[in-house]
Amino acid sequence: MAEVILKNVSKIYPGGYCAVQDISMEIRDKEFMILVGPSGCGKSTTLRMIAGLESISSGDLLIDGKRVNDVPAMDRDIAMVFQNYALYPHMTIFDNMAFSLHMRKYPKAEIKKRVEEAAEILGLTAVLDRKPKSLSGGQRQRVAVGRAIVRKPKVFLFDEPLSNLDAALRVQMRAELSNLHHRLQTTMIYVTHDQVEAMTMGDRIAVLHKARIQQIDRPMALYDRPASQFVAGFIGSPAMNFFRGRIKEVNNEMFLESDGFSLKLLPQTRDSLARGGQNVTDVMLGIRPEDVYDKLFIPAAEDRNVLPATVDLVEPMGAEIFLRLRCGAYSITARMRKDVTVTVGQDMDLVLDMKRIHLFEADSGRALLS
Amino acid sequence: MRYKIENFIRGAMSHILLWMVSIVCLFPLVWMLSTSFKRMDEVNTSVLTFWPKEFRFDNYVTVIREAHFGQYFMNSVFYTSLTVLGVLTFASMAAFVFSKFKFPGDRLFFYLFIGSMMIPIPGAFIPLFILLIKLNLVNTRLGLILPYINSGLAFAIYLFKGFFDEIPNELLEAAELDGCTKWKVYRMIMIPLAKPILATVSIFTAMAIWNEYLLALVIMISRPVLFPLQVGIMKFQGVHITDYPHLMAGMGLATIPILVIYLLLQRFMIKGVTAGAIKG
Repeated sequence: MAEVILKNVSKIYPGGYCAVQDISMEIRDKEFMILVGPSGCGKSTTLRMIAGLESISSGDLLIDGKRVNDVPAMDRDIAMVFQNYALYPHMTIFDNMAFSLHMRKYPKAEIKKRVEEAAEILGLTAVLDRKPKSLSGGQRQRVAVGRAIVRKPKVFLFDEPLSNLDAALRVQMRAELSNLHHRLQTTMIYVTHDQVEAMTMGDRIAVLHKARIQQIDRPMALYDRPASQFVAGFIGSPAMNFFRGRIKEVNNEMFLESDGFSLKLLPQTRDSLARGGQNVTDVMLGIRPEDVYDKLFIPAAEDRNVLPATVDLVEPMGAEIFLRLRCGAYSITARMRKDVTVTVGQDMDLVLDMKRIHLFEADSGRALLS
Repeated sequence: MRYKIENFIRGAMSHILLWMVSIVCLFPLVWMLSTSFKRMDEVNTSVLTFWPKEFRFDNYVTVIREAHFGQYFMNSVFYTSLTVLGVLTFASMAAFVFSKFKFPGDRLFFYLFIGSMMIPIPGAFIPLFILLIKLNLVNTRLGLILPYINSGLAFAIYLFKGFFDEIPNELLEAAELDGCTKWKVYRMIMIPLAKPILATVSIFTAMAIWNEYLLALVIMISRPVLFPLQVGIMKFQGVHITDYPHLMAGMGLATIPILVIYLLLQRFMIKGVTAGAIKG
């Protein structure tokens, strides 16, 4: 059980490339923390620095209150599950799982007990005598997890562990890892580029972009109150729609004017904007696909807030339909009920749920609504 | 139909070519065996015969009994096994470092090692001999084994490094997190995984050392008792007359161990030579 604290941690490689810049975060004891971001954002480097596989250029890393910057990986009491499993091909599953305990000179009886317990939890008892190459991808991933479990480490690290699995197995393993966290009650840090994994598994999520942390929060808080345009666009599938516009005040009412349409903002939005974005006029308006409606179903919508659009693509998903629409210079994604009947090329009037809009400063991407 | 005929001709041509190459390769071996069973006068006749008039197995008995065969054989076994052991140890360690560690000048050192393959051993005889004299190693077993190990290192490092490069770094990192020191990563992860390359390097090195003649002749210049087999059996070759049946019997016997090693390890060897060629 341990708390992991990063204080202004940076990683600069020889040659000057900065992979991680001034990252600070506190990962609480027993917390399932997800590091998410696009390729090259520094999430894996951060994880590897916590593991001790990469040196820390500046800043402090504390595990259980103790500074471990210079402590070798083997002495940090951390276990890591790798993307490509990293099982020892020449050893049996039992030996793979027992290896770390052998290295730490545990008694044989204790090793056997721990390996068998972990195998029981992960459903690997029947394959303990086999070699990794004879197992399926899912089984290999379980062995990799089992190898971590047997050590009972302070912290578990996962580096995109589900990336090599097919979609169905990924969903299953996602649930298994969440259950495992509840069962073991250990600090876990999980790196992924898949925001679905991040949203479904983590207690909290740290979104990284360009070597920096953009936001750390609970999954739904990230979804509902993104701190920047990047986070708003990264979290959520399909992604949030964005329109560039200018804020104008006319007769004590506030409008957002964009190419080909003008939207009247709600009084509460105006108040919120007054607190978070005074004097900002150039903005990006963000709206999630599920907050875009067909006007037919919202008869009370103001005519002023209607966006005329043309259907470009219809994607039936079973329980719902994703529509890609063209609205002036913009492309909009809308998430509609499955009983909406539309065809490609059809004209539609769209209505935005103005209570659910997000506004970001156009230049910096900073969220303006509090 | 035309396609079938073309295919047949192409197949036949390649088979004929392969048979010709096989005959060229096998003929000296078969000729050696055939001669080893002949009598001396039969070899010296003006009429060449392939099949011996009578099979004289006593040629082999004579070689084993009278030519210090056992002693030379054991010398060769000693030189070969220690050289193989030395090459495997040093080459695998060096390749591990070249493959998995970054240090200033790592590439330069690697290419220097590999570059030494370009220098044939006879080309270095004179400086090597002077060096061994200064170290008091001429006419000693160590004086032969050390250059032997050195001669095999470059190619072995090249093979080992190619193999180690294919082993994902995550495997080493996992071992490190499991509590392995660098030495244990080498010993417990890299070496067990490198079995095909160990076999390949063993065969190549053993063949080269077992068949080596010139360096042994130079280094053991005045201690015939330390001759390896290949030098020892040359006692049947005189200045004016050569005892071909006994010489060939000796060579036939000398071929057996290397043939056995090759047959035992050939399946690993094919894996080793092709390691890294195909993504698996």
